[in-house]
Amino acid sequence: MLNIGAKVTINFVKLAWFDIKISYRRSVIGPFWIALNTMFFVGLVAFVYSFLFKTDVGSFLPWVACGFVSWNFIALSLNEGCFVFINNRENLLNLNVPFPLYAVKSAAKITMIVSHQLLFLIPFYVWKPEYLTLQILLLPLVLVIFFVNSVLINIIVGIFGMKYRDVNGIVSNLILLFFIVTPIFWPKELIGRVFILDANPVYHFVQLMRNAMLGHSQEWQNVVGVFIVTILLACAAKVLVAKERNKLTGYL
Amino acid sequence: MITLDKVSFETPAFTPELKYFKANLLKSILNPRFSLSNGQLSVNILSDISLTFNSGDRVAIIGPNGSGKTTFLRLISGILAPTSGKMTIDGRVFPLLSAGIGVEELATGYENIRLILLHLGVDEVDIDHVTSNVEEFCELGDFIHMPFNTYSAGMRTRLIFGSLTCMASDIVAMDEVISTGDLLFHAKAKRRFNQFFEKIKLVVTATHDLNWAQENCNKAVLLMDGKVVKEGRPEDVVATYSNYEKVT
Repeated sequence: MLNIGAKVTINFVKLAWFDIKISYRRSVIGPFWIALNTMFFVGLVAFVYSFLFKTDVGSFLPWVACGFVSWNFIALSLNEGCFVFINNRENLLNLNVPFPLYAVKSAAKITMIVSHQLLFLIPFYVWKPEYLTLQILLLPLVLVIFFVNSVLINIIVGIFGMKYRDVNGIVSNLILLFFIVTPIFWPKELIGRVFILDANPVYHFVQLMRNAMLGHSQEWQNVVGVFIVTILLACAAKVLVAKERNKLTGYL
Repeated sequence: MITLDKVSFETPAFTPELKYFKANLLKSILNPRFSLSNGQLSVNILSDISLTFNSGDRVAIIGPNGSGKTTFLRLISGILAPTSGKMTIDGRVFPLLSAGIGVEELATGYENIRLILLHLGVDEVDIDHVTSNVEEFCELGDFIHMPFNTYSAGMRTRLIFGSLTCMASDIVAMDEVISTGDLLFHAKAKRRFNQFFEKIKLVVTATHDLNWAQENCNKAVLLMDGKVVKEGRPEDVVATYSNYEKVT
């Protein structure tokens, strides 16, 4: 038997799926637009960038596609996080549901969106079967790690976003900064392993998912990096939830 | 079932002018409901509330706008926690504070019933059963499968009222938005509301309808500026409130 907290959490995950469904209402293919949009975008980018970097599209496309999907998970978490509590003002003030659950709902929605983007892997593996290795079995675990971190980011950014209304602007610039310094659309071999990569938390997350998708072995630096970031985010979220819980009415 | 011992609740206040220390200081000196701590202005919404409600009580919380009625309901619902004091609640509290929870304009009536129930924490196993109960009450016919944005105001009220009054709980904290209004003059809605009321052990309602409070409650609490001014039989509390209104 599940306790009330678990049941309410499950209900919120269902509400996340309903949010996606309703946003594609009256569309013929519905949420599959997410997968199609991703394929179109990464195809276009890979084609242009492979020309610019003078590399083969066949080897550059998987790098860009997998990097983009992992990056998108992080960017969506930061973006949605800014408004996660503000947009749920009515419910926060009138339902006795722990407020971090709205972060769970947001993270569940992002995970579902990214899972639709991952559908591009099917035609990709048919085209390039050499990339399909046992490493793919790690992908569900990687998605769970991303989901947990997305919850934590939503809580932290959500609380700051609710408290200081300039956070959204700062976060948008932060996303742009990370987008440029992280090898998503450019090959990491361009700069080799340098401090700027190891010090970039987003890089470790992107590589963790990318390696699982491309059949590469996980690098210990990425695993340690993700572990450290997760612990730090969890501590920050715990402190903030305890400190700010009772000030919600004032912030909203 | 509910005991509050010197419970207070304050919340930080943020407005553009409040970033100025002098303005905050002045406010905190001139108005006892404002206080200043580390440069942050806070509003004391409830102060030193000590009350006990027992099983079987039907409690009306009355008082002028801004007296802290809704915050009081949020506190006993567990949505907010007291800043100081002790609060003991024996049983599960179901808050009925807003009629707008979970409603989605593009979703059908049927989906909206399920959305409201999911927000209220109804178990998946019970949702089908409860949904058909609400569907039956609403009598919306084929409209139940039409988008909510095609509904008239009356149809919307019927669906939301039906969804919110299908729950059973030990304690209900209810704001006037649910308890009053034209809907109660409708015989079927009134019957459903009474049935809903009977199933609950303890009901705490914030209301401006003093007649309703006297007819339906055995206990009343008068809140003024976040403090309990009087508690006891509804007739006595309403009389005190009426005298106060005459004086002011």
